[in-house]
Amino acid sequence: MTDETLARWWQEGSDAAFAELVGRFYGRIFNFLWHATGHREDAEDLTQETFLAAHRSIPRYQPARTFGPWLFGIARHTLADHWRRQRPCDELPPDFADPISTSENAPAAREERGSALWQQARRLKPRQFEALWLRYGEGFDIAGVARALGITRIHAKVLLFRARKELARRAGSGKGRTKGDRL
Amino acid sequence: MMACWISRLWLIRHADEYGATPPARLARHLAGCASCRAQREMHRNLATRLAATASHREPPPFLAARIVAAARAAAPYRRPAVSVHRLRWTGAVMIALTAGLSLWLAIRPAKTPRPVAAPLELAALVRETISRPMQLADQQRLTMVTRSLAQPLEQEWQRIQADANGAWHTLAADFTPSPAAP
Repeated sequence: MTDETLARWWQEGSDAAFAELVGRFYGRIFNFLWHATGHREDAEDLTQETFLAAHRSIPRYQPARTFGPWLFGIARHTLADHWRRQRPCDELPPDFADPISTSENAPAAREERGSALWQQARRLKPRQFEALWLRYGEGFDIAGVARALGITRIHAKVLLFRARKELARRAGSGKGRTKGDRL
Repeated sequence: MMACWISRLWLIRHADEYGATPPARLARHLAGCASCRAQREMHRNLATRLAATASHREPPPFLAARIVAAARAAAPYRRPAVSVHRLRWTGAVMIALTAGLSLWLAIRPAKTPRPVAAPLELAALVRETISRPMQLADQQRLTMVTRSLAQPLEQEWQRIQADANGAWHTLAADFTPSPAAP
């Protein structure tokens, strides 16, 4: 059963289809939001907000389009609202520690320390990180990335190119994280 | 020699696609340009590393049930009686029809109005007809009509008079005493 078929049943009022789609996607949405925010509890709340927003928006979903990028687009909007609600500050405190690398789960923390590249990616501009995650974390093709971000394919390619370039530059220079990057 | 900016344009489009083979001219440029070659390798290696090191953590097991329960409690979705797409199409068709009708009314050729005599002109025409002196032909026609109507009446009148005279003579003969009687 494809995601799009389930989404069409969801549109017709099937609770079972909705529950099945939640089961298929909540882990992926949670990972995206956790990598973006770095907070497990925030990611849980934002995942729930994403599905509630999708529940309200499902009448507008067009089954001819791929369901995954549509749902990630909603997650991205939910994330943007979350950043807007955050108290603005220019610089994070010097003792800021990435919650993922100091997680209570020791093996997972070691695994995260191994992906220092993604820690650097989280310090890029939100849209650059989102594009990188959707392309390489989720494995979306360029069209999927473009649909999730609400941009054209060429724009998505340029965005990914600049994100990789900036990531390479930061990884080389070891530039620190600033909250201003996200605002 | 191809310029580096042309090479960068190709890199933007295909830098993270390992299957993409550059065109012959670009391949020649890459072979001879260390900077562009390094750029290409940097993008491809970065793409590979990002895809390989993207870690996926297990979400809390209760989260799915929490989401479903929250969605059911929030506002159970019910399919609308008329789908949104159908409403959109109906609205679009109605707008198109209204716009087309308005356009047609605006640009249609104006009809030539039928000439209608104004009330004053009509009154003048009636007045002239009444006051015009009767022509000779009209008088002769009127006389003929009058005669054709009067002739039968005259004959009938003569018959009535003859009958009356006969009745008078009969009565007179009945009531007049005979001179020969004693």
